[in-house]
Amino acid sequence: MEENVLEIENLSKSYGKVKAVSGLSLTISKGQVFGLLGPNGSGKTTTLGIVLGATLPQSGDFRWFGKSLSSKSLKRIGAILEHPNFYPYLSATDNLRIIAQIRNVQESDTDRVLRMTGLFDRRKHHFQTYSFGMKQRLAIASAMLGNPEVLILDEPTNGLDPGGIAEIRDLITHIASEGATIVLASHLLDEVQKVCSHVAVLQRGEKLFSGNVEEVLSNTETLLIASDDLIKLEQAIINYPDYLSHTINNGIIELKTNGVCHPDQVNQYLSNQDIFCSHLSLRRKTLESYFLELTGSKSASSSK
Amino acid sequence: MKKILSALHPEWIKIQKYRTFWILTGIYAATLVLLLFSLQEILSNSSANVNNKSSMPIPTIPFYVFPGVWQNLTYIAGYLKIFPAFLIIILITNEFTFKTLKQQIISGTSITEFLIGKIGLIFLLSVSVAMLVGISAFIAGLIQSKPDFNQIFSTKLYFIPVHALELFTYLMVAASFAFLLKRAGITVIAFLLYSLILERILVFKLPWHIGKFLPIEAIGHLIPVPNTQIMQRFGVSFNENTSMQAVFTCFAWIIILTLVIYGLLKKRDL
Repeated sequence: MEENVLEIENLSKSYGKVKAVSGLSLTISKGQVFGLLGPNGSGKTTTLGIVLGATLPQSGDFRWFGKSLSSKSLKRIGAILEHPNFYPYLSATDNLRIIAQIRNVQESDTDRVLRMTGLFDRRKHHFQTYSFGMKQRLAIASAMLGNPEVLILDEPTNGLDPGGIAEIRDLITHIASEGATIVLASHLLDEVQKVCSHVAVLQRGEKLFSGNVEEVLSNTETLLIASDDLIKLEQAIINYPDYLSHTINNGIIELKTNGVCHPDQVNQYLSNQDIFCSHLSLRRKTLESYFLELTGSKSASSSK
Repeated sequence: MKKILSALHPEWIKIQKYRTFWILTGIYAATLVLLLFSLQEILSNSSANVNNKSSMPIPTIPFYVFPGVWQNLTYIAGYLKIFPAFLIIILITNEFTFKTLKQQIISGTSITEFLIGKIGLIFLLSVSVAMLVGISAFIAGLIQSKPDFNQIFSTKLYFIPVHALELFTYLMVAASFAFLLKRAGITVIAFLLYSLILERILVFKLPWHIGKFLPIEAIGHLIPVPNTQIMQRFGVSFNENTSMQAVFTCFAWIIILTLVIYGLLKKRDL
């Protein structure tokens, strides 16, 4: 059985009348790269704040590594929450030394994480002289001190330029490949789609969906087929064994199948019936369009 | 002990390169030493002035004579304790302004460890200032009076540790305001209002057997006003010894305030 890193049960938190998190349950297993998706104000940061002990929940429970939260379990977790918070009058190295001291990590490890995040050359400069992107990198560096088993990254690419975003994405993929569990909160769906294995979608503090990214996306797959004889094609398609539904759009049939869609098998099936395709392509919705569908936005139909 | 040291190490990194802290500390220490060493001159000057107009001769007060110097200087040093209180307020409210307390908690500091660090710092600051006052008193005494070991190491030497207790309790009150209010400006204003005005009104309004247990009031009873010859001449005689009740009240406040701060941090979103 998979080992559960974090289990959240029925967590709720309100700020006055606003329900920031409402009855949220989630399970994150070892080795997952878990995306926490949701628009601004959907409760991502509040949820992470609660499981990290910075915010008190009103009700509900959560367990890290099967136990309730302690500073001992927090030492196994590297986290960035909201904005990078450091002493402005201290250098990057000194700021990291404080965190290293807290986490019982060798101070020499600060150089390693500064190199990984591209800050090594600026390590002696005061934090207050950093650009926002550099501050964000320092936050990521501090989260990586001592190679924690779990990384929690709240909007890690905030404020980074495109090059920086790509670097951080590679870094996350690299860390994940070494077996760490990563929780990534973001409103950038493209980001999550590129790096996450699992995803949960939040809206107004409630969980709309959670599951495997591959499964989510394969459910949205559509096969686009066209042929000279559209009526014959449509007839054949309806009789296809895994047929689920279809629509016709501009002379192109959009087919949905049960389970995973196999274009090669469809092609084989049609040619067996002497139907030859003039167009055959698989369209997979992006997480973004799926997300917009889930959250009920009107632009749901626009897929890339 | 190891736990205390490991909680103090991050605190040391935080202040080690904090210019504002060292500049303020330097100004405070210099002012303190300067004040302690120029007291004799100030007092002699003023008694000379008074003598010019007074029909009654006022004697020059031997300020630096052992063993009185221990009490005289610790009593005067008490007037400057507002400066270390500002330092502590800045160091604590910084953790909220920079949100570094939150960062440290999610990095795995427990609230207990964090508090040990901060209270440890307050303790070290109190002891250091008391030692500075002690060394100043020792030097001033040696310069201006005949060294007599019986007089130097008299029981009045206990005013040095009592001064440390005075500072420690006072700084804990300041720290409580800082933890409660989180912002430097408002903390300084509230602390000044409370310690200079509000508590005095309370002491005045409350029955004495309750009022004397208020923190600033109790701190004020630790080092009594020195019983100088001038006072005796006017027929005023003050209690020369530290009130044990005040000592116990201060220790009680230190414990109460520690628990209050702990509860505050536990019960509040960071």
